[in-house]
Amino acid sequence: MKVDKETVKGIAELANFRVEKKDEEDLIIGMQKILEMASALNEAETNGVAPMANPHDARQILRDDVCRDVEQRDSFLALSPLAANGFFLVPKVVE
Amino acid sequence: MLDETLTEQIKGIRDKKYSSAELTETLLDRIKEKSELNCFISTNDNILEEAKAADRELKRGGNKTLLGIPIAHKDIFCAYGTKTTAGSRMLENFVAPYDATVVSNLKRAGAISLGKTNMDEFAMGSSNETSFFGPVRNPWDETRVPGGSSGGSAAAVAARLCSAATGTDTGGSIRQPASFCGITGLKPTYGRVSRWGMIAYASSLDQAGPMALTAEDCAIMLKEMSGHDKKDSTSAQVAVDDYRAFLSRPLGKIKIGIFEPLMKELDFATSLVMEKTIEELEKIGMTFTGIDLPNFSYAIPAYYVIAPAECSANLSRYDGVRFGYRCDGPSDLKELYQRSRTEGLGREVKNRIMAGTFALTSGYYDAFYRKAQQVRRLIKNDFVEAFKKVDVIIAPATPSTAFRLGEKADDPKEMYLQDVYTTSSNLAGLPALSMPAGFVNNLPVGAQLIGNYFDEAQILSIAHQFQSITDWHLTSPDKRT
Repeated sequence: MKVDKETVKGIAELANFRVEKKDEEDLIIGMQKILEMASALNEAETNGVAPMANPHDARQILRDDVCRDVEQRDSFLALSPLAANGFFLVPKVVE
Repeated sequence: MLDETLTEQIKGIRDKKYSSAELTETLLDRIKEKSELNCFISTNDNILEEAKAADRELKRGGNKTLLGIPIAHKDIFCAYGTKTTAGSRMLENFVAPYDATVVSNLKRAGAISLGKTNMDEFAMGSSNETSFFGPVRNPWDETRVPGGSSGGSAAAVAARLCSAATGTDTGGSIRQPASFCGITGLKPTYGRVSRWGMIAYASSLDQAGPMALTAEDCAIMLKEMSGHDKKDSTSAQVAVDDYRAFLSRPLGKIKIGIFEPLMKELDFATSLVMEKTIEELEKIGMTFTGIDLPNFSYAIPAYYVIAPAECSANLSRYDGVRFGYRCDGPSDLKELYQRSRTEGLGREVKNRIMAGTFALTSGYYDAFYRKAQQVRRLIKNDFVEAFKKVDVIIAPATPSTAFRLGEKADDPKEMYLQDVYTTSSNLAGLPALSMPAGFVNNLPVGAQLIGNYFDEAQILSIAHQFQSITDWHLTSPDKRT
């Protein structure tokens, strides 16, 4: 598996990163090393083996559909780098 | 009192040998004196008041297990009203609006928090060098790393800045630094301890656990940290044992499994430490037998697909909008997301997010992510088979002693191999601990005990018996000869 500039560019887009020219090589090497290690998995015989997402094969527990939490809007908005009038603020999206 | 274990400090306060306030002041002085270790990202400004309140409660007959005991929390646990950074610029100014369940459980048991310990950024690292707040130094040799990612907690306990601390372990992040710093650290069974309020790295692997000088101290901490939590649906509905009470019970005939290929990979000095550990365990009645873990060598590759894949999803929440770092003057929403994440996250975190995102793309999902999950089941099955033959498995905790700062920083592959003996227990979800087992070139070496599901009591008991006939766990960096 060879990681190149195009791969990094495409994945960075998906992961919401901006890739500066100076960081390109670092990211290629970083990804390459992880994927090189991962390629050892190809040697494992896994025909018919069910994938395991949870060590106990647990299923999601559903809770009753009742409102429990107290209103915490203000305390959560206070964590935002930019908020006003009960909203998170972002650059204009719709003209 | 600085050299006392958690158990001794609990007794010291109960017997009025000293007050919680006196112990706290002594520890705060010690933290200042050892500031060059960089163990803490922040300290609790109110702790003396909290210690005095604990002393008043003690006078009124208060008998909570950890009443007035100062402990430290890895800075991955949200603690109401305090900065919780996860070692990242992204969360440099994040003040947690609630307590993690681990924090509230320990608070309920009477513990008071000295502060938040340094860690690899978002728990991604094995040396504590990826922290935005600078590396932690190993108290045994300050030119060396303490291990990671719970390096601040491990170094703080080893340097006697506190007698116990919390840590988290996704691929070895409690056991590897425990080994490097000569302390005892336990990663419990997945689901034993609630993950609520613990900043997520890889949710199906992350587990919180105690780090302390002795197995007895870990037993005390674990009981208070554990239990089902409605707020974490992955926390297990399994009764919590009285781990400390188990320690004094006769162990009976324990059979310990050895996977020989792991021992053969060790250097000569470390293999001698492991041999000696096995001899000591034989003295207290353990028997040993060979086991086979045919898929063990796939643990690192599987881990480095699953953990990055999960982290790429978990860390997508850091977008500069609701909390955390936000870039200056973005021209549009896309630039806000991209620059906030690029500027706010460090190199290693970005590498793992990129690799994880790649493994989850439609063209590579089956070849990487699905394959890794299949291998994960094979690894678990191997352990299940092994535990039909043996009660516990012994293994090295780390492939080497603590390495020098910077030594592996530019070689991610070498760094990832630090987890070679530890990741398999995370993938399988098994409990495992590292206990001090000797020294190589004046640096501590840990031995690892892996237990069966929810059988933390067994591995803690074996470690406790081992520590009753050895004193590696009581050797401090200040008193080495």
